Amino acid sequence: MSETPFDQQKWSELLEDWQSQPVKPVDTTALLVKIKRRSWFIWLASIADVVGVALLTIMGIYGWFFAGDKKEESLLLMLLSVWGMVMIFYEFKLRRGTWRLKDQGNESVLCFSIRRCEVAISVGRLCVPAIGSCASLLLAWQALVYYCLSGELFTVFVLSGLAWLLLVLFASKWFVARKRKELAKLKALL
Amino acid sequence: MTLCELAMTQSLEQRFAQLLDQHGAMLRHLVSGYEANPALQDELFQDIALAIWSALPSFRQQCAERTFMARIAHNRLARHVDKVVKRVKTESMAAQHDDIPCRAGQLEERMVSAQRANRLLSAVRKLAKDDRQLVSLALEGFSYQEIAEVVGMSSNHIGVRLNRAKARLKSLLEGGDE
Repeated sequence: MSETPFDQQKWSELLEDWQSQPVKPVDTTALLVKIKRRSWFIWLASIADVVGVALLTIMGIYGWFFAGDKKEESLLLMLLSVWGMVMIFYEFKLRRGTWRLKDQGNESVLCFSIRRCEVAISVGRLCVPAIGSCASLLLAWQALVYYCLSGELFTVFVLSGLAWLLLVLFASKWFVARKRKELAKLKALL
Repeated sequence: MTLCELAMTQSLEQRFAQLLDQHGAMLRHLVSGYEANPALQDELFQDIALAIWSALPSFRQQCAERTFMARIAHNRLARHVDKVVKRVKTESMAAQHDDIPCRAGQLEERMVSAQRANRLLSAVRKLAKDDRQLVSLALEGFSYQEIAEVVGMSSNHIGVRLNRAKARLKSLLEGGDE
């Protein structure tokens, strides 16, 4: 590899070549229309998120205190609303991060992505035992209830349980493999 | 919308249009250094414009307008590379400029110039991400101080790294489009 950079004249020629690249003229009016539309959609999506989570919270609280026999459903709604709040927080943080003038150096962006990939791989690996065991327990419980009520084992439950497990297994394998490839590419960029 | 808000929006629109008129070409050059696909280039340009539009109300002339725009472009382009996670395609970009009008007499000159620019562009795209960023800003005529403000490093550090990046660019240009 050449260790000496360009001489002044060569560099000036390169500057000229670079700056004389033909560029499409910017239609500012059309661009402004598109930008305003996108800003409006982003704003609308954020409002919809906030309103959705607020509704979930209100329904959860109402169900917990005023609908006596709906405690489990209310609890689920409240858990979902907490999850929604976390999502909204990260969404705003991400959007603010994109627009903020704070520097996001290449290395910090890459390191963040590598960390995100590693977490995704761990989550992907965890999916099989977590979802698989939950689904198996649920299906086994349903099959048992059905057996107690009707006196026979309903094979559809067993088959659907197996299908579900296989689906989770393949989806998780595919996801982990995809993330591993992404991780390798990200590490090569560092 | 109150009259005051309307006036502010109009003034913001004028300022935005003025900034794009002045520095739109610089943004296009930076984008083309990162992405070869013309459709994606347009999309990226629009994303950068959206980010500039959103950041403009809070811009208080802490730095030059050109630096402000380059910094936003840098942030957005860094995220783009991170998202795509692959080297951009380095095919010839001659075709994408076919729709730019020019007079018949300028055609030959334009072709020669486009050929040289394509060779340079192709070499810049082959550089590693950090080198590409420094070289494309330097090729836009940014000073060490301005590059330092865009990428958040010290000027001295920029000098050393830019020299190394230039040496790599030279090596790529000398080696041709491998």
